Amino acid sequence: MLFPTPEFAIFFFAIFVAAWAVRTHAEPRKLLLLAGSYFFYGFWDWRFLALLAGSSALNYMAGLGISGTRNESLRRRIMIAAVALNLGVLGIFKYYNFFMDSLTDLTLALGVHRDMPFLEIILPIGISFFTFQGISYVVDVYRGHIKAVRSPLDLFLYISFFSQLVAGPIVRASHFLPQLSKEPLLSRTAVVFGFLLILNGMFKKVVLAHYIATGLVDPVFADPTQATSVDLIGAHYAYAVQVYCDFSAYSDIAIGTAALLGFRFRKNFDRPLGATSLAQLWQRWHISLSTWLRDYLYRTLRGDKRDAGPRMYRNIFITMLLGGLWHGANWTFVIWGAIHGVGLSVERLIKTSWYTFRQGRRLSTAGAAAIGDGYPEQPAANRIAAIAGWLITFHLFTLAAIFFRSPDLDTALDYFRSMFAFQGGADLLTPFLLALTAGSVAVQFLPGNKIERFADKARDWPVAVLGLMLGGGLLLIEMIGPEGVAPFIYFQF
Amino acid sequence: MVDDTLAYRETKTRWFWNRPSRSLLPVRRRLPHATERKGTPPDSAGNARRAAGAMLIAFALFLVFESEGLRRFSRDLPGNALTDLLVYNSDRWHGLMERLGPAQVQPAVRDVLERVRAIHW
Repeated sequence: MLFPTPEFAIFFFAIFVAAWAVRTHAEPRKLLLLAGSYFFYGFWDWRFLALLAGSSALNYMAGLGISGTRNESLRRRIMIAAVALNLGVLGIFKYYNFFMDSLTDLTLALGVHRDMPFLEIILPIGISFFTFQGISYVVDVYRGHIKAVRSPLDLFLYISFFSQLVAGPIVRASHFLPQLSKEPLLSRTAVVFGFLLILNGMFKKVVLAHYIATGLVDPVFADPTQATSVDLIGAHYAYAVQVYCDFSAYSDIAIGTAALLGFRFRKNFDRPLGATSLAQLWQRWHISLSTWLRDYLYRTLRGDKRDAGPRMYRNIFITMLLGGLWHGANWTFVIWGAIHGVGLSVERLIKTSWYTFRQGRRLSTAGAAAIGDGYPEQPAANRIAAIAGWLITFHLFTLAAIFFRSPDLDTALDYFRSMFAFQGGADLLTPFLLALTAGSVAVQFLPGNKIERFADKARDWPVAVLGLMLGGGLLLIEMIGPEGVAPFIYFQF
Repeated sequence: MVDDTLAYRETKTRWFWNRPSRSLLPVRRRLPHATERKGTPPDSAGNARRAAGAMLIAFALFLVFESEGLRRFSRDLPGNALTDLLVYNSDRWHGLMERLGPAQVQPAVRDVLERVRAIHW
């Protein structure tokens, strides 16, 4: 069941009304939301409901096992076993054929031909997301950050809550579970906030991402050798915008629908295309995933000690490499992750060296410290540095995205060759598509929290006006959008 | 209730060169949709009714201006006596909306959009 469909609208309305009707009865409400979430997931393919339930049961029992003993060695073994089982299931569904494929290439290169046992595997939708949530729960219980959940209903709902089940955001147990034990609240601002996020997400997905994809990105990436350089240059910018619109749209709708049901989720995208450094970009892009990678991968690699030497750069690189591989079983994703890993490491090295150099010469660091209210504004030199930083970050991101989008390495290399041939004019890049792309980048530079502020202003609007805003907005999106809806890109991850 | 849906809230307009890194900003602990303006707990049931009312108005707007979509939706449903009835009535409803005019808004809007999309250099 996709968000921008009549089926979801009817489903959500029914769940919304029923959930608020039983809001004072915690257990029936949780049961209702759990049943709704399983219906939502089973609507796509009911066969994978057992996988979802199995994953939830595994993590529930692991949490109880960890909290039920004080034997550190046993706790650690249970945690490692649970993480390994989670990753094992993910690995089989997502990476089995990729490794078999790579092994075949390797054996052929060594002059040995062996038939590998390939399997016809359908990737269960959202498997990465609910697996990551399960791992975060088990590790948090092991680390003592949260207590193990006694009620299976709570944990099953945490893993499968329909708003974020299929494509995130990856919600932490420490954030979600306490909300289940309290009576849900719905303020007037939350109602408008939820509606606005849904409208924003629908516009980004149905209008922006769709037209950019079908009008420019898909035809250009289908065969880059047949496209002109202008179209290729335009398409690589456009793809970055399409990915942003597609990914963030799902998060917006997820956060908006959750807000209407009385749940609070953190922001998942915060104008990342306006970031002035790679580090900042990753603090603003798919925040729940990048913080997950930081907390459960980078910190595991780092261990207890904080180091700033080559070990740190190695850990950053490995984290981004595995982050790339998480997106899919393809070498293009590995290269994409490696580019970001090297970029982040180099950026960190330059910043550290520059800081040490300035400290050594005892220069003023007032400009660099302009990080909050009350601090002095940054001097002009820093503005120029910020603009240069944005240009470098943006272009590194868009160029790396060519690997992300290409189906294989040959297509990516063809793309670069044709793009830098500088031949031909704009065939596919129309003023309409250029305006959509440039406009989507431009809004990233506006001051933030416009939606929240507008929600606060519109909180007392009459119901009829709210209905007209929601209905009129959705209707306009439906009218100018295409017929039918393409699945969200993140579904494949 | 602690509410950090809005991970931070900028207190003044900042252009991107002055925009601080997210991790350096304090998390705003009291956010607007945890409580009503005067700090009192919200009337959640009343607000849920408001939201449901707004959603019903949105559905009604769709029925009037997107009758073609309703017809498509009903035809995609698995066939049985109930859905046959729905198909029949959605056809009649769409015919009525076409005669009265609302169903012609969408083609007109699409036409304008297509003309904009067709503009070339």
